[in-house]
Amino acid sequence: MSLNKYSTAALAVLVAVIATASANVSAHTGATGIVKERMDLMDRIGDAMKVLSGIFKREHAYDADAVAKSARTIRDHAGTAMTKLFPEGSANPPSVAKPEIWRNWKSFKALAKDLETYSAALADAAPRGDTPAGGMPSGPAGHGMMGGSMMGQGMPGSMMGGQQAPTSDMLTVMPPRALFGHVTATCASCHTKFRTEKHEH
Amino acid sequence: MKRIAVLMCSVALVAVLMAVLLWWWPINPPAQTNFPPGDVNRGAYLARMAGCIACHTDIKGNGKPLAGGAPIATQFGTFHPPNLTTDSRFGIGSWTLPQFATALRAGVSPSGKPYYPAFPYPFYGALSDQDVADLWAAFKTVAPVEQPSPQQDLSFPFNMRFGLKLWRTLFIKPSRSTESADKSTRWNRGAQIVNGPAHCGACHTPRNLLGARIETRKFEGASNLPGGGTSPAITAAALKKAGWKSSDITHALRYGLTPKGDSLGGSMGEVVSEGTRYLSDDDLNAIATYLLDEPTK
Ligand code: HEC
Ligand code: HEC
Ligand code: HEC
Repeated sequence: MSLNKYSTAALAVLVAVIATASANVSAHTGATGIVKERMDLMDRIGDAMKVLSGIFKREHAYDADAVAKSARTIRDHAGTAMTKLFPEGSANPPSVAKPEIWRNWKSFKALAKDLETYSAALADAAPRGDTPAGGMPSGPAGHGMMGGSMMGQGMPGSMMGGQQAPTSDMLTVMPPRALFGHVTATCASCHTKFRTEKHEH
Repeated sequence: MKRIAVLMCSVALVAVLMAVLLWWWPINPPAQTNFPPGDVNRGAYLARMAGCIACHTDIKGNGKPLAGGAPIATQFGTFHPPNLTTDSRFGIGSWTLPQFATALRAGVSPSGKPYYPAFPYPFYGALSDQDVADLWAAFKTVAPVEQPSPQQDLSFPFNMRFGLKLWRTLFIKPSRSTESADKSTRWNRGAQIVNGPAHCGACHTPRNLLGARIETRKFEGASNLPGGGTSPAITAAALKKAGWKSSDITHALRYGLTPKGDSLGGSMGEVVSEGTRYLSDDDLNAIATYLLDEPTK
């Protein structure tokens, strides 16, 4: 009886291990060489993002060190560390990168650079702490909830869309949550332009 | 031989007759003239929620806000979301509020022509008079841009706009309230946003060969999206199976991040960056509440 229990438990553990292992493999089925390298780089960014998400979702208490550390991980994997893993024409399956990357190399590079800038600013801003929960409904950049009104002030006529990148001066005073908004908007912007949707979800 | 020729001739005749009838068949949605005063801020907020800004602005091409969207390639041809700025020649500067309301809720132009459903007006049918007045007030603040809107570029037979009248009778159902008395106010607010202005089903519900949504497969994910690409299922069952909690959904709609730390791309990236990330915490919570408790069909 107890032997039976043991073997069931062992079997369960084995199944779990195999399942996890194969899940890891299937995430980049068959990717090799440079494609695998950049998928790994993106995954490290993704792991850092999970830590930040937990904090900005308020699932975990605000932890300035963890924010700074994760932001630095992203910074170190952005910019040229990222773009050098995208040599011309390396968009063959299983890669889901779009060939547009090399037709718009400047814009691709600029996004990788923006990611470096914003994540570096987030690392510096980490000690500033987070806005209290349940306060103002916070939009992406910690502004008011109105898509318009955040643009409205001081810029008449542009409340219906239009977005301006923050200046480097603004970056040094922004709260971490606002910078997290800029980091995530940069990921989304690059994935929107330069990556096709993945089929398995 | 002769019989076949006669048959072909009569088929052609019937087709021509039907086309003439269709072309002539008037579609006159009841004209509405009394609207409450509009609120610009509420309108701008709704324009985000409803994706007007995302679709009618050429974001990738750094176009001016609402001066015309990037082309949308589909299996029927290429659509060009027109200029909606206050320019009176190229935009909607000379339109009236009732004309705007009819375009938005009924999908009929000021000259009585039906719009293609690439303009997701079927989802806007349930907008209230107040909503429409608010949107109109916000659109009135948009700076004019002198930029002509390209013609819609569709293949035969979809290039014949009057054929849309048939499509409308087949597939447009009077917008039905998805509200439910047994559910919370938050759930009902979520149902209203998701099935109305936010038009999540436009991309997440699969479509038939004529481009109409298959309602029995609501939110099961779609391929062949406008602009290309595929979308995953967002049924309550699929989301729960993949481990999405309510806070994961609000986080994804605010920041574009999945629970795995990946960032959503494709057309969803734009839905988030030009739309849902501007929504209030209350509205995002309402969306999540509804999605995780969506009634099964
Ligand atoms: C400059 C463009 C760019 C930026 C910025 C960017 N990514 Fe990516 N990302 C890509 C491309 C392209 C791929 C697809 C790579 C491939 O399949 O070859 C990708 C893939 C991924 C993947 C999947 C990796 C895998 O295992 O297949 C994750 C996770 C990811 N990115 C997370 C992020 C996060 C989080 C951010 C922001 C913090 C980010 N990315 C910023 C371009 C970018
Ligand atoms: C998914 C993309 C998409 C979204 C979202 C969208 N539109 Fe459009 N819209 C279009 C397309 C495409 C057309 C052209 C349809 C046609 O010519 O048949 C159009 C046409 C219009 C027209 C008619 C313009 C003219 O010159 O005749 C108006 C008005 C309009 N849209 C307003 C709106 C408003 C207001 C919203 C938000 C509530 C909105 N649209 C959201 C794609 C979109
Ligand atoms: C213009 C088309 C479009 C619209 C409108 C749209 N989506 Fe999406 N959605 C997509 C695509 C495409 C993806 C896949 C993105 C990717 O893989 O990078 C997606 C992914 C998602 C995901 C991630 C699911 C997963 O398992 O990874 C969620 C959640 C989601 N959408 C919710 C919504 C909600 C809620 C709405 C309405 C507010 C909505 N979507 C409206 C196209 C759309």
